[in-house]
Amino acid sequence: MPSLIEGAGDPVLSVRDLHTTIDTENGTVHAVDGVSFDLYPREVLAIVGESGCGKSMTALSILGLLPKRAGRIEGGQVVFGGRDLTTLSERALRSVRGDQIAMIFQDALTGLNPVYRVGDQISEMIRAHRDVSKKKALAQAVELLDLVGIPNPAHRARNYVHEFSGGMRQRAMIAMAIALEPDILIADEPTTALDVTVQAQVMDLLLRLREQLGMAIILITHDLGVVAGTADRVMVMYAGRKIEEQGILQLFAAPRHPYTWGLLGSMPRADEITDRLSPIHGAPPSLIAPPVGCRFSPRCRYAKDVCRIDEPPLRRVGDGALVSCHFADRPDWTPDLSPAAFAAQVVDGGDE
Amino acid sequence: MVVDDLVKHFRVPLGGTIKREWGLVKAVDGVSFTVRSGETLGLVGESGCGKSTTARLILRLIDATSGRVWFNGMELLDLSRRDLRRARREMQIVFQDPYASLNPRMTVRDIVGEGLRVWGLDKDLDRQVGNLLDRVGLNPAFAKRYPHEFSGGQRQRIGIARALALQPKLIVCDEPVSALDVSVQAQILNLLKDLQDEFDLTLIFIAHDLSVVRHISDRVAVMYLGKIAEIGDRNTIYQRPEHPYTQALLSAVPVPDPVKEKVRTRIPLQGDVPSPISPPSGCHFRTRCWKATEKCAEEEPPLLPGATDANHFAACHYAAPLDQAVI
Repeated sequence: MPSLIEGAGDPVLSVRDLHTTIDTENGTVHAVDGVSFDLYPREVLAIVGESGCGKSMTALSILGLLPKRAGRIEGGQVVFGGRDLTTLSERALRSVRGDQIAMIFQDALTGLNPVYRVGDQISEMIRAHRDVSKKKALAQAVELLDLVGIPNPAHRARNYVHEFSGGMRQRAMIAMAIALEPDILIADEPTTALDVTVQAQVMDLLLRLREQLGMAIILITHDLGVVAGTADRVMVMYAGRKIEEQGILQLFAAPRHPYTWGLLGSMPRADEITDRLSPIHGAPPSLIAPPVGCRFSPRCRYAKDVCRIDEPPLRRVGDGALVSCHFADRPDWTPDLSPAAFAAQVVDGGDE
Repeated sequence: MVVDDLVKHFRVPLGGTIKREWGLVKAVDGVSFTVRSGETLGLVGESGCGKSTTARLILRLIDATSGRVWFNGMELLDLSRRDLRRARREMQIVFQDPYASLNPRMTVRDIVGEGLRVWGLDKDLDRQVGNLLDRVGLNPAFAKRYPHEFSGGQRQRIGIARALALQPKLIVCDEPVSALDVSVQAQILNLLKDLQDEFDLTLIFIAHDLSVVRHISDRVAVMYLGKIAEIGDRNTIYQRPEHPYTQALLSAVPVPDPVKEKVRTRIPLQGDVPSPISPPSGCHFRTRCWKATEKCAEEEPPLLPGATDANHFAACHYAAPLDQAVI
């Protein structure tokens, strides 16, 4: 799907038919089961979905950060800078990580080492990729802390991670991630653990850095509110697959996949009074033995026989939407997002 | 329920090498509110505001430093251990973490039926437990299973069944859906609402997610650094908030509507939340407030009636609704 940013040109990252598995005691989980997407320069692409849909695994696969023995990329390509990252050695990947593609996490202690001072960690990262003196790297680290809005940066550079508040930790992690001006920043649930006022500050910071540094951002989250405020394009994942992809305005105005409608209909809103929520009944399928046919069909009120037999391919519908649903392009089938329509789906008591 | 000037100070060590130094964390610093029978009071605030501590104080899961709580005609904080035990039948709690709040070594039947057994009401326990499980949307056959066999949402349902077992009047819900996915969250919220209607329950619903709170509450209290900043009818709080903190808080809540998000202006808050060990003098919010004056530093503002309706109160010397809605 082409970029919505003017003059974006070619994609900076192309993921093609990615398959990632994780071995668990219950069997092998097909966490990412044939996912493809492009990322264009300077855009914010949101990958949304609930737990277990494969969004985090996709991100970790891009950077080769899967669990050492249990996780592996079974197939597909991750094309960046003219190379397929899945074929690179660990050493070659290490030169890409941090320098050209960086990642921040939900928990700052995943990205930052608790036993080193913050300034030292950032300067160590810089010196791993660039030929600069310790003194200069530390000075750059202080500048970065200032850039991300940490007051008293010179003083704070000498602090340890635990001496920072939650929001400050995220900022410090962001500072380290952007130190080398990467082309791509992957943010995996960067604000989920933060208070709402701090969350807003951190998201503003990411957008500001996107402007200043011209980097593309992959934002992984389950929070559609955060997506609405920051993303250019959105990709929805379910049960290890991409099931919808649209521009931000289009996705909220006319979601095409019943799961997406379900997500939007099940969210309470702070700006409106919602009398009754319309939850999606049931639970996502096991990815150890993925079901036949459309993976969402057991929970879909529109499911027909064909849905249970044939897996719907991803195809273009309407003006630029990508959806995997057999009925997505029926012209007479516009989603009825009214509570009454979804209320029909709500069974007394609910279930999983 | 009437809560009057509830206070909880925790003594904490501040360091010091030769002689221990102590500080006081004023987790709850004079909180008062009423909850009417059958209604849902939403208690919101950001981390460290004292909302969870307040919940535990009401149930006497921890002892208060001072203050009073009236419930069902009794003053709870004054009761003897024996009378408290009796009172506790009427108040129950649902916890945040569905993985930590169920004993992994007990079957669902034991967990849900424990209260009934304690009170000698366990005649025909299997049937009672079966009914409760069914009421919360679980298959009664699950009674033989152990918690680890269930998902987060199902565990919360078990926790709710447990809370309902003794037919309480009041249930305190401490962030009951924060750990759940959005679609599961919706199932649980609908369930709580249905149960409230069916059993005429009073709910105190604690959460940091302002969308969830708007959905489920009749009235809302906003807390900041151990105090109530604003309290009132849900719609008034969300549509015409009068306390600057509430206004800033609501302006920061993201809304799943990209068109709206583009045109919204956020009220930025300077700095970080001050430490509850040494909160600012006078109004605790003044260090981050754009309206702050000297008066705010000298005089702590009491909860004063707002401009909009008689049951709306804001603790601010300069409380006033904004011209535009912030959300």
